[in-house]
Amino acid sequence: MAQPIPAAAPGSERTLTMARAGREAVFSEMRKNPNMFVIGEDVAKLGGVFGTTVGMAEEFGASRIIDTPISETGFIGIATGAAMAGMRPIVEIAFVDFIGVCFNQIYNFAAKTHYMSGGQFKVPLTFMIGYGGGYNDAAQHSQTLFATLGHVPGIKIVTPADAYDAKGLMASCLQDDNVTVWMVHKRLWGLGWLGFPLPKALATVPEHDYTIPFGQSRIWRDGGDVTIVGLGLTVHNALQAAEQLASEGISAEVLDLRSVVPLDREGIFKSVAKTGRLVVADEDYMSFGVTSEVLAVVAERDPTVLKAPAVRVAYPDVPVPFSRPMEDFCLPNVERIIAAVKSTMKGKK
Amino acid sequence: MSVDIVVPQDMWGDSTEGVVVTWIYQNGASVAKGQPVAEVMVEKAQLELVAPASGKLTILAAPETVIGRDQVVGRIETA
Repeated sequence: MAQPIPAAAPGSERTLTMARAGREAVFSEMRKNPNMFVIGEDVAKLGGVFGTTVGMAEEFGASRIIDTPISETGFIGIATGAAMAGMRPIVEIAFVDFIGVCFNQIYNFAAKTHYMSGGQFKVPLTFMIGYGGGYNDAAQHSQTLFATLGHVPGIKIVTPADAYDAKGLMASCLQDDNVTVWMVHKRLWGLGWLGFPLPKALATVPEHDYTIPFGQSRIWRDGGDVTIVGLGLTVHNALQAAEQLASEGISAEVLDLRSVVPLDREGIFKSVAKTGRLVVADEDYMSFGVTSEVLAVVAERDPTVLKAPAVRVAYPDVPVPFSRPMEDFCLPNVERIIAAVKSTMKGKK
Repeated sequence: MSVDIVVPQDMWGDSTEGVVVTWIYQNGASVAKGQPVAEVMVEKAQLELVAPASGKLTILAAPETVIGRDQVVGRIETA
């Protein structure tokens, strides 16, 4: 066990990467819950493809940090059964693309058992998953798939945009008594080989435990002309876009969803009612996606708050191309967000 | 007195260089001996540098800087 670390002196706050911050919540909950364990590919010896479990095998041993063969169907089935029997499994799936292999376990068993058993069985199972593209990994290792998971009732989904949220949302997932999914965009882990940490993804993270409630969005930047809704990496794209738009006299509010399910419908509507314009940026596929759901919030509550048609900046409905120029063309980048905002500002008095 | 934060000889295998990914504490922060203070990357592995002493941290190698074995990347002023 590590030596106890003295309390931080003033001016000595820790600035953590998202990988480290998320891991800290897992360490803390694992210490409190002997029934909690981690299962997945490369979680023990390697410490997770994205560094999610570094140091855990040394502290918790092989019975609680379990390396599996490449069989998602097998280990997600094991985890679902273990959760029903009273354990608290954490399943690491490095790439969200792999959930396709085991979707029956997830959407027919893990997500539905609590309901179908009349509440007799809980399934306290947490997935930690990486997603997103932008680094030439092609169609089967670059997807985002929020909507694929979010469409099925019974699964809570969060996606932090900085290290503070990474720790707090992970703690909330691990303390929840049913299926939760903690997803981090690969560009945000802060591992170096997937890109150096984005300055705003690093954050001051307290050493003590804390949680962030599900379904509570976060306003990163106040604005009066337009609301840019993002999540995960697109929060950072939106913040850069807002910065540039400010120099052109356009005041953009940046709202980070933080949870896909439950969605903060109140928070979205409140911001759009204030600004009167809406752009939604998401790296998941456009159709039937998070962007559509956000627009539906406004359409269903009161579309007359909109001064201009809302605009979606999402992934086109095509497989992720390997070619870098083609992939760059598809990604919801800063330029596309700026163009979308400007299209909502036409004719502004 | 000051103690150097040095990239240990045995920190990584055959690679001759790594890179600073991020510092966990700001320049001038108080750190305690044994705390991880920086993350460095060698090939695709993420490794930690720990504080060799307790005191005030001075950062010498900025993030995204290439570093090698035995290099002094920071300094700790002990009280």
